[in-house]
Amino acid sequence: MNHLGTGRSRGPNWLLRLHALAVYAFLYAPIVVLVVFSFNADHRNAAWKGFTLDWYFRLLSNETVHRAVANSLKVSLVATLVATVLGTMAALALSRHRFLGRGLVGGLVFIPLVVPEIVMGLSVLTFFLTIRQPLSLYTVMLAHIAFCVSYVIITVRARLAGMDPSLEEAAADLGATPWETFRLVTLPQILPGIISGALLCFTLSFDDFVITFFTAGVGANTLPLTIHSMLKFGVTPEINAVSTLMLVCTVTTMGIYTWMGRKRSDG
Amino acid sequence: MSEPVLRVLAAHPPGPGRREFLGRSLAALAWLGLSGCSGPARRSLNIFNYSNYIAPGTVSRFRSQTGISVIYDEFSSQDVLFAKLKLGAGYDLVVASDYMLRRLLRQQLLAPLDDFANRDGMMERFRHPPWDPELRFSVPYLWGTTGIGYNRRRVQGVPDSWNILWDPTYRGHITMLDEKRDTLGASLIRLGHSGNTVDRSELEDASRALEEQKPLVKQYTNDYIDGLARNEIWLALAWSGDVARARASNPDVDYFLPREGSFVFVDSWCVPREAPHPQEAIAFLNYLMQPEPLAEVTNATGFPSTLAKARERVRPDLLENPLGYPPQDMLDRTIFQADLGPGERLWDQIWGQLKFRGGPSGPPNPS
Repeated sequence: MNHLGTGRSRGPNWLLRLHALAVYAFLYAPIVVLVVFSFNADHRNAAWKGFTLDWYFRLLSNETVHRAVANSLKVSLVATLVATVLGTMAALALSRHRFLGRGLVGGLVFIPLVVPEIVMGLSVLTFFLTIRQPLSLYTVMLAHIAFCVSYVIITVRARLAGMDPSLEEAAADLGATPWETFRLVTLPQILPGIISGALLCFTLSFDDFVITFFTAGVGANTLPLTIHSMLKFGVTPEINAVSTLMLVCTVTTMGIYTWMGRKRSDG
Repeated sequence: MSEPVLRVLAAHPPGPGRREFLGRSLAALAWLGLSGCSGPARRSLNIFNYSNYIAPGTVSRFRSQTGISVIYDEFSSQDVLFAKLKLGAGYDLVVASDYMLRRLLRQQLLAPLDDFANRDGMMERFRHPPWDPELRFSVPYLWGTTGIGYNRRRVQGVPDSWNILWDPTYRGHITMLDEKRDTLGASLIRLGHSGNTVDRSELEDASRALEEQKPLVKQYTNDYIDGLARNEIWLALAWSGDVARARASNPDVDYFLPREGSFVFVDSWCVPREAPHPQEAIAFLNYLMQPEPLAEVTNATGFPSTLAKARERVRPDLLENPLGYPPQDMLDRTIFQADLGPGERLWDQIWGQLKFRGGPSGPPNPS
């Protein structure tokens, strides 16, 4: 198998490319089909009947979709903002201070990443019901903040781990207040980690279906919930069009995320 | 903010800008909060309905006529509706299908609609449904039938009987619904039994007939619209609304109600017992259940409404068409799917055995 990786012998190299191509086709073909059929002139995804932008225009006049987009943006922006602030603070506390239960808290951070989403959704729902909190858009925001915080803590901690702690000590030695040390020394160093964490939060929150489903109240349908409700009559090109728009949004965010990651590793 | 947090903030003297930053973030959060809800003085209404089950202008016209602001949410299946109602989601007006309506009534989750007066114009067929004979808790809205969707080019002649689903000519191009009530029910009706029977030997007859039919059947599935549209399925035990959708992209698709009889279903508006705005819900029903708005709904969705007078304003292609308003003599031969009571167990058992014995089966469809 060794010669496969050398790239010197022609045959195996060709095979490797074919294999890679097959893997990518397997991963992306369904998405390509989804996007292509969002431009289909027919009412159904059954057969190609010509190119049209009608489905996108129809979305422009669909009030339900408008509100879903507004809800999705509100939820993701608030969840990202709050989770980023809380997560950064928690990451700093976990990396820079020793306190009772630090190991436990550090481990608990991983729970939302490994717990099945449906369990997470149900537990958040049970919690809201127990404290008699009626479901609304805010309960969705709270639930999203809860699972997003972990992702920020992990990305920021990774960044903090690679940072030289003596820099902070030096700043303090030279008379900087804790706030000045944070603002002028620590923050610029960990900023890429914070931004990646925030972008990750935004994508996860924007795409989330399961947890949102359990916590959404009246008037709180987000874009994924709305797409799901449109499925009653099967998959129409209108659904493909909404999904394509969502895909563009998510891919853009992930693109920024990887681009920042590359810049970070280059610099 | 909780007291301990404030104490921590006070213990570390804030540097310049920190307090301002906190203040600004809180103000931003507050703005996001306020923009989400309306003032207490405005009347409002929360509606929960199937998607694509109303006319595009209905809600906005109601809003401008009454000044009541409406939050209009949509669901894809009755199970979602049930879950949200059980959780006390705060909806004022919801659309429930007959079997779900029965469950909601049994669990006493609905409020009586004594203030809604406009029941007189309703088609006789829907005045006394078995689950709510006096219409105290529900207002029947749109309806449809179970019948056979077929491809006019592939099926010879003009079919009119359930027997065509047992015709070996169409082997491999037939689908049946993955629903015990419709598939076992169709088999029962074909054999001359009631579609709501709880008699074991009659049910076993029907099951045996389906067993014999299996080699001809492609699949037990609720997902046949695309298959019909693509000419792959020639005969499908189907719901009228679905076939109308297949026909929209393939004019060769047609639909008929078998002469032996069939099922009719109706979706109804109802008000949950804990609805925060029951009066506004009634106001909406009073607006919607009139000929003009209902005819608009039918023209937009293809589903006929329960109001007799609305029929006069419906697009002509939906009249005397089994996909829209079937002729009266056909409609007279349809029955509601009755509550099976303890017999439900027997149905489940026979249906389970039929599906378990192999042959065609599809993945369970959640909707």
